[in-house]
Amino acid sequence: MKYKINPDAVYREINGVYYVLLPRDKTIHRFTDVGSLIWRLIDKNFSESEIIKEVVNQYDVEEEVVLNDLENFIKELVEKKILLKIE
Amino acid sequence: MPCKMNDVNTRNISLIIARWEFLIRALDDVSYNVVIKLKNHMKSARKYDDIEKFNLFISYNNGISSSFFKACNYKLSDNGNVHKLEFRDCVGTIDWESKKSSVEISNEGVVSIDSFLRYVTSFLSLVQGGALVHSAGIIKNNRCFIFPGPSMSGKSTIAGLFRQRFTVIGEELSIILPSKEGYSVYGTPFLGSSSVLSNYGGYRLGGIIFHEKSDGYNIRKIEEVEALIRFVENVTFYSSSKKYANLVLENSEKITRSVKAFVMDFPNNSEWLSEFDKYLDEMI
Repeated sequence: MKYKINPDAVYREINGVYYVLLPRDKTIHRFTDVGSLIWRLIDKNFSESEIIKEVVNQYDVEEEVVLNDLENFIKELVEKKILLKIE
Repeated sequence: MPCKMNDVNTRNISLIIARWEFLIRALDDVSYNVVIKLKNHMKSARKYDDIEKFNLFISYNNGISSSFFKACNYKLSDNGNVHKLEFRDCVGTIDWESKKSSVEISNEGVVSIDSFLRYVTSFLSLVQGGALVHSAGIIKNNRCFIFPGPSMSGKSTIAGLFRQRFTVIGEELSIILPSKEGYSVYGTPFLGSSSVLSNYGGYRLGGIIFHEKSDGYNIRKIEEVEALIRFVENVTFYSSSKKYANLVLENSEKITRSVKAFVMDFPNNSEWLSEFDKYLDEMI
């Protein structure tokens, strides 16, 4: 499954932390360090498996843990329409 | 049944005029010049039973683009130079060439006008590099400290507590605009518990203090990202346009970066005010 950032979303990065604003719901979302890394990778069109590999490399954690966290993170972003499924 | 001019609540009209006078004061410095006069001209309306028709004369230096009205979800009919705007119980036309307009409002229309002015002020603040922010404002040493927060967060309580010690320039909405020294803060006369103000401000922004009601007093400095997110949540932002969302973030970043920001817990009594006053002296 691949995702793309909602083209309506406005996002910025401060000191490595990303935050995003959806003009329609006027709610601002702030990501954690890991969330910011994942967001950066999604922005670069990384696939789910590529994101997992990158997070495992950078944070030295089990792949299963990353997979679980990533699924929850992406599910939340899709529910909030910050991310859109593209395939 | 159409009502007569005498039936109109004159206090409401005074409030409308006060708001436009405020806009002139606050925004004239930054090249916009909005002048509106209410004319005692009554005419029955086509769409509503109880309506007053006022003529509003608007002159612009730079003009407000029609895209703004579209962005604010107004229903806009475009007939060459004449635009018709419909919003709630407010119907208005603007002739961009002659720079004249008319607005029809119901007897309850002061609410619509208030909303309209909020939109205009929000938009003008954003395009000028500033923001219209839900916040109370107090003056200390010629600097304005704002207390951003949503409804029921305690802005009015804080303003009430501070009134004996400081000058309060607002307890509901503040306009923050760029100035030579950084940013300046203006109070606003929008509908609220103290909707007509004698002091509109123009004071240099000194600090941003987010606040939470509590049993005890505590204050701590916060980092840039936390300040930014808390701040953005209180910027009035009516458009669903990405362009204006970008302006909200861009301006908010610059504003929060220009001064220190704090989170304060406060009880509903005056015992902590001296300690807070001293803290401000030390931190600023």
